[in-house]
Amino acid sequence: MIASKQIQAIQDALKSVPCRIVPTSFEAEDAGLAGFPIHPQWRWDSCAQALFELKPHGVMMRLPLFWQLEVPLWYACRAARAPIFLNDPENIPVGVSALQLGGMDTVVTEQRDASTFADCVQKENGKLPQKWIVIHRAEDIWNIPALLSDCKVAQEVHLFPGLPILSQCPMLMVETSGIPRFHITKGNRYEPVTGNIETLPRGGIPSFELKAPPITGGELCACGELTYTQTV
Amino acid sequence: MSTFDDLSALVERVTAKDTPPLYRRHYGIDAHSGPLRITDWNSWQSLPFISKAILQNIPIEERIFIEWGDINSIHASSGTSGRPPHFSPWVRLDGYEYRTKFHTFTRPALCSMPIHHQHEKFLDQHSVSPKLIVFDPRRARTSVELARLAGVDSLFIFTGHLALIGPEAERLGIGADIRFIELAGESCSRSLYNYAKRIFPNAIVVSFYGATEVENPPITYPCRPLSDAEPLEVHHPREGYYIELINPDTRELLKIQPETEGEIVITADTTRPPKQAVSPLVRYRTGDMARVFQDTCPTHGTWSFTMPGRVEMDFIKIPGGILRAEEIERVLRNLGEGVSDMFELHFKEVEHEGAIKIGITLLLEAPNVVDFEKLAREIERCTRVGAAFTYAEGIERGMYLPIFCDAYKPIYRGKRKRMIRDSS
Repeated sequence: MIASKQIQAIQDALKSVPCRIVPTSFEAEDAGLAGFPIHPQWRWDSCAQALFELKPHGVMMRLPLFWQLEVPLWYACRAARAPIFLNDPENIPVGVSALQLGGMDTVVTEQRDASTFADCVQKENGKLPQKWIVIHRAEDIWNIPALLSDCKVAQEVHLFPGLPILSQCPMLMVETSGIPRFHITKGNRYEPVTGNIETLPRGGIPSFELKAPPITGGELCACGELTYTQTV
Repeated sequence: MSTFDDLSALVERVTAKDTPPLYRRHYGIDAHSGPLRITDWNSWQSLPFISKAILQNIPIEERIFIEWGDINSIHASSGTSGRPPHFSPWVRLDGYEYRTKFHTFTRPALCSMPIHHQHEKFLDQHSVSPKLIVFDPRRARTSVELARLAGVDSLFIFTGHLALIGPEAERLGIGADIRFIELAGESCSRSLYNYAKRIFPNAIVVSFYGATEVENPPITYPCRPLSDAEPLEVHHPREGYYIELINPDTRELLKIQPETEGEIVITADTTRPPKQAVSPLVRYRTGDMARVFQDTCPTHGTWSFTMPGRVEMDFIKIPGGILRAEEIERVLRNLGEGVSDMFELHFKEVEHEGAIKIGITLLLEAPNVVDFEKLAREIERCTRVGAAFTYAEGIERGMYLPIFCDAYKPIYRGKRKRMIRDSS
């Protein structure tokens, strides 16, 4: 995502705002990458809820470190009483070993990595870990690899790392085939038709108006919330 | 420093009947016997050592002395030659209190040390609300850019990452903003220290010694910052760690006195609950060498040591990869009859065109080779430093310096070592 003018305007002020900073792009080489402030007490609740459902023994993070999500994920792991293990996404053999020998049974990764990693694990271990949290980039097609169709997969869509805009309740997590359905993640206003997102102000951090893909809604989920799918 | 009573209580605790079988098995205690009780220093010193190779044979679940759910993180360290990584559990988040003697932490920090939340907890406890920027060694430029936006004034990093962070900090003009640099993982050479002072002129540079298998690093606290007059890392054992030095060949216990050099043997978690470790280590052979600096430091009242290196190195970490002795051996074996697989790899940090690089000299037994330069290029081409990445590709990308090859001239210096860090 290219940072909006509003985000560009606050770059020099970030150092005087108590906040956690995440990059506004999933790609380190993105020329438009800027820093985005998140309240220091922000917790990755959608992930914590997914972990609560998955009941992990150990959680392996395969997200790039510059996404700045290790600390939020650790808090989510603590809530689920599971240790965290950091696996460099480019070091697949260590990740495979962690599943065999390191007590890990749950993988947190992004959609672009899930297929490659699952394929390698399948070849090395002969079986896949059954619990996954898969992050989709907002600009990607939101689907999960066929290899994971028998696994428990919680999916989220992030506008950029650390800004989940869509996530799944336990009812939606079990739907691992077909078009994935999501709920709008709490903490933002998401206008489905236009894709306009307004983050809510918190502490010294102002509200931001951001642009996400439009989404198509609204079947009612058994949990009582409306569901949305990617607008094709 | 731990007392005999601490050590005795620890041994009793880790060999109790209802504990994981790790130590009961290691000490040969039968199922009907109670815990092992040591009564004097002689019985302590007769306890067999434990090592990474021994721990690797035991599933992680059988090394856990607390509830699994209380473990904060699991860490991988390189396996012993040809083996998969070793996994170590950590639970504690404390241990860095000494930092406040060197710096007032009111700004965020850039951090590459595991595990990041442990360092954020430290910042939480010592200042208003500064946060951590996690350094991604594969995306140094972006990480340092985020650090600039956050206004970091301190670095908690692996020594090897200084060479990645320095050029970016210089490019962004934030070198002078950095007031505190803490290094770990490897010793800081004089040339690296000089480089750090050039890029970060206002920074205090300290270092600590830790090991992935010994949870809750740091194991030591710095006696003092490195200085221009004495760029020497001097370490004191932290409370809760009992350190012995042994002769790595004979296993003989060495006396702690100036200039004594020996392998570090650590006993960790000698404090009582709740400060206990997930997996307490009793007489763990680290493979790291220490040289006693002072038997009694006038400032801290305890002994101190410096670190000359590993007992035997199997690999060196280089930006973007690992150069393994067994990989060099594989390449040499494939080069044909003119070259044997006997070698000595010497390395040191050197400043090259304003950046810190690893200079490698490979001494080879190759009596029929005339053109060592051609041989060096071939070795660079064949040597893998990553899953799909060769040393030669690293040179092309400006990450590594060319390897220099020369003839190996055996000089008897005790046990032969294949990878040797030279002073720089």
